[in-house]
Amino acid sequence: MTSPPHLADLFRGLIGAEAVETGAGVRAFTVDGQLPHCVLFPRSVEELSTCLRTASEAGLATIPVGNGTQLGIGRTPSQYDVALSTKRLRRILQHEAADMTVSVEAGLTLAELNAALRSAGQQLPLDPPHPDYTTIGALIATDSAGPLRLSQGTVRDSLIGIKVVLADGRVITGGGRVVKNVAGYDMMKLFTGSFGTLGIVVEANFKVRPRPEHEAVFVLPARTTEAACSLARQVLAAPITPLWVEVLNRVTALATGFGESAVVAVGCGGTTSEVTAQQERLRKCGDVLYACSDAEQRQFTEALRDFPDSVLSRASRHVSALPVQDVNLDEGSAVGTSPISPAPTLEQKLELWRDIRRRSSANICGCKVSLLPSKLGDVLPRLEAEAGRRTFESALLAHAGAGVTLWCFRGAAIADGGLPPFADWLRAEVRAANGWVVFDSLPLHSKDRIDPWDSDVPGLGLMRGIKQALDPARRLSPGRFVGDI
Amino acid sequence: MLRGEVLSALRKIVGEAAVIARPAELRVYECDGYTLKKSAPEVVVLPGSTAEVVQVLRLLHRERIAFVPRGAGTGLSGGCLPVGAPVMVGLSRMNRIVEIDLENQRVVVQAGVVNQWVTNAVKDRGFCYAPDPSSQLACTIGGNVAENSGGPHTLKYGVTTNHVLGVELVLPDGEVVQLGGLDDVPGYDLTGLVVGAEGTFGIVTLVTLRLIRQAESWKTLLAIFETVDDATATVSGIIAAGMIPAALEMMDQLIVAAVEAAFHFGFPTDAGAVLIVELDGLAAGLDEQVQRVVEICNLNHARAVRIAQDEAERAALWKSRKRAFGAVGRLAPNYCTQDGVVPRTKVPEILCRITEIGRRYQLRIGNVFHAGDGNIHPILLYDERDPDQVHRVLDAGREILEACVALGGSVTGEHGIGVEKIAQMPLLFSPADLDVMSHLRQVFDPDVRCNPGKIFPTPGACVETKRPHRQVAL
Repeated sequence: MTSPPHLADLFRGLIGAEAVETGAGVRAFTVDGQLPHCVLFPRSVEELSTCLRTASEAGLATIPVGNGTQLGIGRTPSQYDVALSTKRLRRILQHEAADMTVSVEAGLTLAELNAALRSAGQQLPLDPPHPDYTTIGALIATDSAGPLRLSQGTVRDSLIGIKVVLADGRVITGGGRVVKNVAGYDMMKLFTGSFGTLGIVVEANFKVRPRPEHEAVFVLPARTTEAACSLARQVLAAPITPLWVEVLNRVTALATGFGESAVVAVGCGGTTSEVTAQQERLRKCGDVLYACSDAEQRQFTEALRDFPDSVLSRASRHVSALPVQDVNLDEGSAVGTSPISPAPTLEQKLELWRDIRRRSSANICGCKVSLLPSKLGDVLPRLEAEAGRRTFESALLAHAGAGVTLWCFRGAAIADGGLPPFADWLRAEVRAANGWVVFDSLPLHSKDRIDPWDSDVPGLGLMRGIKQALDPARRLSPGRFVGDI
Repeated sequence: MLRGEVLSALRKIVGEAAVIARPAELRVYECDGYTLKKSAPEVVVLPGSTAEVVQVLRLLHRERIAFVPRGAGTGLSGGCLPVGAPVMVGLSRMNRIVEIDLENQRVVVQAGVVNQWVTNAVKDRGFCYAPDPSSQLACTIGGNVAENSGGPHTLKYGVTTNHVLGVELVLPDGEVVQLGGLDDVPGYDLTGLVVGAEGTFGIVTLVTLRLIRQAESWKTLLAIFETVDDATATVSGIIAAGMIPAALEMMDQLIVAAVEAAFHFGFPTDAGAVLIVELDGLAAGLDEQVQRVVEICNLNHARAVRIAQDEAERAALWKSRKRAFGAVGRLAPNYCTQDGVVPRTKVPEILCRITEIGRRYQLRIGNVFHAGDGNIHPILLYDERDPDQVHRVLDAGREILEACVALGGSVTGEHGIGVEKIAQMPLLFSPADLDVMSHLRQVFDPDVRCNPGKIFPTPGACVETKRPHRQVAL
């Protein structure tokens, strides 16, 4: 293999010195303590393809990155030489409002895309955490979703076409620019949630949707997590068409300002009369505490969207659990700073985010639990109780309609070797309920003892076959995915 | 030619009555809804359970025999035409709804369950299965999964892939894999890959489907226009106003006349085009939307806008639309339908092109299609007894698909590639794209024994290129 200094030269020769980072900037792309030799910022699909082909031919292992915020997810790479960023591929290639489709490059952030669509009254209706930093490429690779998945689906439901660079540098496409298309295999599904193990998505076509005229957030308090789950079932069965229905446990509700106890938060959208009608019907499910003001609504919606970072960074004073940092990501500075200070740049926000993650990384664990929605009320309280028994404090947010729960817990016991046995218990408990657990945020000290993915995923043999077919030399994110893919 | 031992082994697995090998009976299976090509299998096996499917596929794996899965045979691209596959595995006996779980808004059904049965089983309790292909009274869920079928109501609710939560798949070597089932199962989205793979990855035996709640309220409008252009401008207007109707369908004069002759709904046969617009959602606010749609229709010179007064009238309207293909049988001895897609805004352009192509080839072409999706279904009328007409139909059909691609669209929105559109795949995909797809196929089916000769324009696929005989039909 080429030794590091020569290695950077290799790429400088291809895309120019300015597009090859070997200095301090490399640190932002650390994966489980491993630093890449260099980070590449190609300016075109052709450059990116050349870089990847060259790296692969030189026997180097590449991890595709955007802004580098999702790199904590997955197993420790078996090899990591080059971070290849799509950040400079950031054009909107086509937006035909009347077609309700948009074609973009992968390095554009979701926030930038939605800002552009807003002028046409449209949006890509996906709400993963931190749209300011989440690039389209990361969105697809990590299959990120948020509360809106209840009414709008996830990436797989909006993505209609892709362009991907394979490990050998070949550029392939799938799908197209039309909303209905069954020509060829559905390559969009394959690359969505493939975590950079099969190729680098460089362009994506989406169908977009009109923005609702009005949106409103309603909060229904419940005494316990269990009661909140059951209330959420009631809301989901009510004759309304909510945008989202979330269950917050007490810690999450306190930290995000939703209330003093567990709550069900409901987002509704539509014309004024549609929203009003839904509010009336919600009252039949339970007390509707308040329909918030616009500013509060935005704040609450963003807090749910950015879970668990919103809880980690904005834990309010009266919450004992999870008081990690008094930092407000949105203000870009310590809490208390005058709101008229200039808006932080993306780089400043990213640095703050990394800081929070870094400082909280040793004693925080985050996971995603998938269950049949009807099982939440039974399983979640048991998980919480067991966490409590082990002196972990936990914040929980359940996408009640999808049955997907984000769970973040912390405690001194995590740093003291208490995590692996708890993770084993948790996984066994959830598997017994026919569910799945993915640990998407594990402290480094436990990474070699806990598989972030389940190892008995059905179809693993086929998945390995697919990896072999698309990246036989294992040049892309080797060892990071399920079953060591 | 299959050996006698293979036939008796198959009989042993599925039972005497579930093996069809008499030539006269096999003729039923010689084509699907795409009748340009016909080729009967040597034997049809009808397993009654996943276990029987497993045994059949293991046997075929040992014997290195190719096979083709089949649902109801209503496909429109020759997806279940046997091409170098002597055995057909029919799923029609596996027609049980296994589980209805309304609390989680899902059902588990065997692959041979008919699309409409799913909704029938849950509609009394306020639910439905959204994808509604025109053949929904006959087509099976297994076939829908293979083709990723659509239907009029997919504009708002999405196509089959948006409603399949998981599948049980028997691989060509007989191994069973359970894919998906919940949201966010770790690993690659193999469920998503299997849907729309046109039965080339194995045999889907069990499917978990998402149910949706029936809309509280609906309004179905029929708007009548003097010209196709006015109708398409209305479609654009509705989309631009930020509305997503449940369905937005168009029929042109030729089709309207045929439908009226068949069903006597009361369509004006002199209108240039009609639009069916269905709006659904909460009762509150629906009238506002209807009002806005009516205004947009009037702005675009609608001759009249009628609103269905009750469920019966709505049902009659949809019956007319969904059976439009059948009604066309009155206009000519034979017809061939295409399934191209263009970006919504290119609908007027593609319709002009179709008119021009029809004129040039001296063919009558009607249009009935999903205007909201840009998914067109030009119907080319002809008489099979005139070989020259058959040639002109084929050439015109190809030109129409090429025009769709040139306008930024696709050659198929919901019917699939099958054998019909193999030649058009290179219009959309590069050799590298196709190479990767065929490598993917070999992950599931290394010997290419499962539904060979479909989708890919590979030399090894032994696709017949002979000219059509018989009928070209829906």
